[in-house]
Amino acid sequence: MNLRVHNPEVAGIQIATHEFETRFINGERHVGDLNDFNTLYQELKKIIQDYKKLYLEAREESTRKEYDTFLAQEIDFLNLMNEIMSNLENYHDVVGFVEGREIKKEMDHARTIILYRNIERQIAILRRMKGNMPDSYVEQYKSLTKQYKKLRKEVIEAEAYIIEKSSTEYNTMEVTTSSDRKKNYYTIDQEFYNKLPLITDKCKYIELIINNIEKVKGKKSFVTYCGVTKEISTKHVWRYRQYISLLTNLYKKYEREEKDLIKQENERSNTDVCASQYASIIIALYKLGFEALPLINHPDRVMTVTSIDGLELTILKSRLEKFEELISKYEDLKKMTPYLDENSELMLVQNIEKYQKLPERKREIFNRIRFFEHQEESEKILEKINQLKKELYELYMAEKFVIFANMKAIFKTSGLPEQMSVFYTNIMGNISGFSVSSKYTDEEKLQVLTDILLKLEEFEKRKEENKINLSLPLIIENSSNFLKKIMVNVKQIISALPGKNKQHVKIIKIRKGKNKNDLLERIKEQSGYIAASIGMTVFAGLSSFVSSYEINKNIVPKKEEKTSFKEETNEMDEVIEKIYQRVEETKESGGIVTYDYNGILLELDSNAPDFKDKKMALERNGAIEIKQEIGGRAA
Amino acid sequence: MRPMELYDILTLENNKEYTIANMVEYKDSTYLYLIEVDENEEIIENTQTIVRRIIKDGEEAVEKVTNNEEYKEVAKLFFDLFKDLAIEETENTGEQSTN
Repeated sequence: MNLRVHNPEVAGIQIATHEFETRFINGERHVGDLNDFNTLYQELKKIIQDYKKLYLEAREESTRKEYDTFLAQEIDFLNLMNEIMSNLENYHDVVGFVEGREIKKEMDHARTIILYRNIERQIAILRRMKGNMPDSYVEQYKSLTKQYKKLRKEVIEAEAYIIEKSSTEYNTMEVTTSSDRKKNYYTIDQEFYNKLPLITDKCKYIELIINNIEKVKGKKSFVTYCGVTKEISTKHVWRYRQYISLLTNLYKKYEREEKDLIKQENERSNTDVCASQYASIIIALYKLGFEALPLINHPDRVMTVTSIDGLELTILKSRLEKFEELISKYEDLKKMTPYLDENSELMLVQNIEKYQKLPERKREIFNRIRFFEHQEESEKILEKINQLKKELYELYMAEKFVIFANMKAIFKTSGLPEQMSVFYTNIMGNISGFSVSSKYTDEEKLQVLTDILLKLEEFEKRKEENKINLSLPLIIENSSNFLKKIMVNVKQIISALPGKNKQHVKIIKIRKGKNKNDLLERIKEQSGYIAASIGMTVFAGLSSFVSSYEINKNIVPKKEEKTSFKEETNEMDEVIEKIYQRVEETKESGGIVTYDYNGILLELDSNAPDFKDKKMALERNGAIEIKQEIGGRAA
Repeated sequence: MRPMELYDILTLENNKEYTIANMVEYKDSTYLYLIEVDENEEIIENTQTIVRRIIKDGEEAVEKVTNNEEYKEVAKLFFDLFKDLAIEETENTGEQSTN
């Protein structure tokens, strides 16, 4: 955090963002504390509004091309910020409070569970290193294991609480099972599954299997899922429970619509439903802890998911075609990500291999990086590590894309409110453990989430392109600082323009400052900046100097690094000199058009590139052109 | 009212307080470079302005410089003053860091 901030408003925003980052993001804060985030957002929103207003005013007054170009880029960034912030504001509202429910308690529990699952995941990653674990990770591993054990009791209570709460959301169905009870062995028969005529039957079938898994809680259980056998331990039951919840919701939905579906079977394709169901399963699987999502255009047209244990599951082969068919209808999806092939029908990624076996490839690179990090340091090794890190980043981006593309697909294809709600709840649960308010419609909730993801995705891309490394709160902090600085300039520019603020103000009191020396010091510190501002507004007007100075200032923000002030002032003098020269030149050139603006004569160079813009701005503000005699100038 | 000095605090009609960051004489008038201060007399850097000291209805007042040429002339004088101050400040900082 920059402590050398003189403006209390900026400092306030900095402190708020800093707290937001350290406490909230790290999970030390709860939803009830989000009010301060809202305050922060409001402040930033105000700044953005003020800035936009000033920008527009300034543009009215003068439109030097360099200035416009410079600000256009900033406005672009600003708009992005604004949208992110607006989305976050909605997000805050959406995840707010639900009357009559102990949201805070649920959230605390959810947070504990998520923390526990995260630790579990980290331990799993470390365990995979087995004997190759570097010393630096041993301590971390021990600490995580300790924390994991400590949380166990709390998590059992939390899970019980949430299961109890969520079980009230739907009716428990009567189930029968064909499983072998002796072995606690349950099988999803894919052939049988595919033959089931209705979605509701399919859902019910899966639900039966999973409900039975839950019944054997505490024992070792196995599930064969499309030919792959997987052991289910007690700790996974909670996840399966989520899956059941999802499927049950689906079931309820389809049950209601079943009759209609049968009636309309010949008139309407049930593709929508298939896609929705398919999408739900993707999410459900994700919820269950599988890392990779389906490879839509896999050559074998098979959906493959990989568990954190490295097991691959292949499911729902028969549904892929319809899903793709549906998705291909949504042209606008193409615009949302650069990874999609422009010429394709959609969802056909340019490079199939790029999106295959992501977890394994990530792990492999990760281990290779660790290997090289323990080699003797040399330029070659560092280069190798950098190369690997780049590859790893690529994979993370690819993985993000797969998730993102699927989210978008679900959003576009579901169309069923309840389905959306399930999706939203699942994603929200995964992201931060927030519950969902009933204040908004499902569509709104989903829109909010989708927008956030889109914007974050977009920003991620920009971050990579510009090689900047900022977390979201830092972006807020930096942008607010940046905007404040720009605003100072623009305000001064506007106040310096002739014809504005003609009033006089009475002095009520003159007194000595409490600490004259302090004031002197402060003014001295600011003097370089003040001189530059005067230079910008008075001599350079709204010129490229604004941008060049602002850029220089951003490059050398710290005073201790600013050893070349003399050079800067020389540069300033040079700019001023150039401007004077230009004024002289234009006087000589004869291409001068004179305007009377509230009694002040203003001369414009008709050969200047921004002449038309300025002319229009002046005329809009009531300036009158003074016609000249040939060969002479206006009096 | 007491005479004005550099770094004095002025309370204006709008009830805001300003410090006189610099002062110049130009063509028989006194011009002030004012920066707003908060209740702790910390400067608020985004409110700065150049004004002319005047007497209005027998009372002390300040007015904004609206004439472009006049503004440029006065601003140039302030520019030189602040530039010198900045160079002085940089040199002092430099000396301190070398010591």
